[in-house]
Amino acid sequence: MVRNWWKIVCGILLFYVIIAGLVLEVPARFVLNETIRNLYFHVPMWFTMVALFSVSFYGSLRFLRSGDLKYDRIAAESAFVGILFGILGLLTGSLWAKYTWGAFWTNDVKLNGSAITLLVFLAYAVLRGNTQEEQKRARLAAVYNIFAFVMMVVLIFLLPRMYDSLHPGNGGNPAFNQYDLDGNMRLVFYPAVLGFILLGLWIFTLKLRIRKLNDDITTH
Amino acid sequence: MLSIFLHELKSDLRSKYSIGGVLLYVLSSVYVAYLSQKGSMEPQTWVGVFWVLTLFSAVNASLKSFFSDSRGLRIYYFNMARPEAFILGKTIYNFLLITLVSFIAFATFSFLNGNPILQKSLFLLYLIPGALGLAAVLSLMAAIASKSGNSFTLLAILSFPLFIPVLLISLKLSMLAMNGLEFAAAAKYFFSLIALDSIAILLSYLLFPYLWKE
Repeated sequence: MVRNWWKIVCGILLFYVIIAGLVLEVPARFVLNETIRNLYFHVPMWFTMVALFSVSFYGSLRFLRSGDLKYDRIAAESAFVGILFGILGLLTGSLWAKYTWGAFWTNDVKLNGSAITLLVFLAYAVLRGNTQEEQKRARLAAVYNIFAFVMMVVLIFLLPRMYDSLHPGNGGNPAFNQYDLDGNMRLVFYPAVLGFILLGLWIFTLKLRIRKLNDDITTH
Repeated sequence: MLSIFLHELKSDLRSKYSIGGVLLYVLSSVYVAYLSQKGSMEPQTWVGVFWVLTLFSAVNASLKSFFSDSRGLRIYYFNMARPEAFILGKTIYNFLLITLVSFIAFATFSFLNGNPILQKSLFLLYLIPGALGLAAVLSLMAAIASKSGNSFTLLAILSFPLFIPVLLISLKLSMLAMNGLEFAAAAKYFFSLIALDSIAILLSYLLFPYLWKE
């Protein structure tokens, strides 16, 4: 109970976010209107995805350094949960885009960047599924993961400097940290980010334990 | 490093099929693109189709560099060469091959579709760091894919998303050359592409030794 305090925190935060996010008053903005509430759900998805992919990167680094399969499990499972949050981020984002931009998908830097990132990590999953031998799979996957992660970071820093974007926070469009995120919204947004990251980590630890049990069964 | 590079070069020159196959691949895909457009391409489409063709030809060309090595040769390299030298040798070879492929694609493409590029020599200059980036990504990915056993599909799946940073900057550069802008306008992109290439090469230099042990 004491060790799992953060799970309780996560539950309370998300309970609060869902109710407050849907009920509390939001500033009425031109075009955005009530869809501004999507901020509470869409943006934390990406934060969670990035957090999980960073865990995965860390796991891959540690694996290459030590050769311990424990770290390979960490890298794999956090990547899989990260993909889940990435897909959720895409879905919430394109739903929002349908109502504000008029289309589910536009040719936009941020959208393309997120699609590429997802493709990379899906390729990571395919690579893992394709290789049978355990040590080899772990090594190939770790090398790919590190290479891909660094390239993605470069891409994310590079792209916005090259192109204009429709997305909030780019090309003169207001971001959520400027005037349109008033005090009330912050009260929901920050707990939402924390809550969803905790949720992602929670799913990740559960999956990690399941995988460890599975591995133990097959080796004994 | 030099010996691996030279070996690749010699073995390719010796078996005329492999390099001839690559060239034929370029020619036939350029011709298909020409037929689909009936020779009346918008300049933008021209650059786009050109890069798609170059990309696929590059993947095809570098495919052989890891998959055609016999088992005996691999063991020989494993004992004789340092892994860093091995990956650098492969990268340099792939780089030259892809540069050659892209130049040939440029020539045949201009021959069939006309050439809307205003700054032709700059366009060719911009192809070089683009080819280097593709070569760096492809060499490491081909190494991974060949270890994993399941060849071409996996190579495409692994490398295509990673090409995108290189491709985006290259496309931007090509568009600038097409519109006739001077080098000064493109220098920013040119040097960031070179920086990206260096990162990719450095990463594969650091990571390849972990793939080396069978």
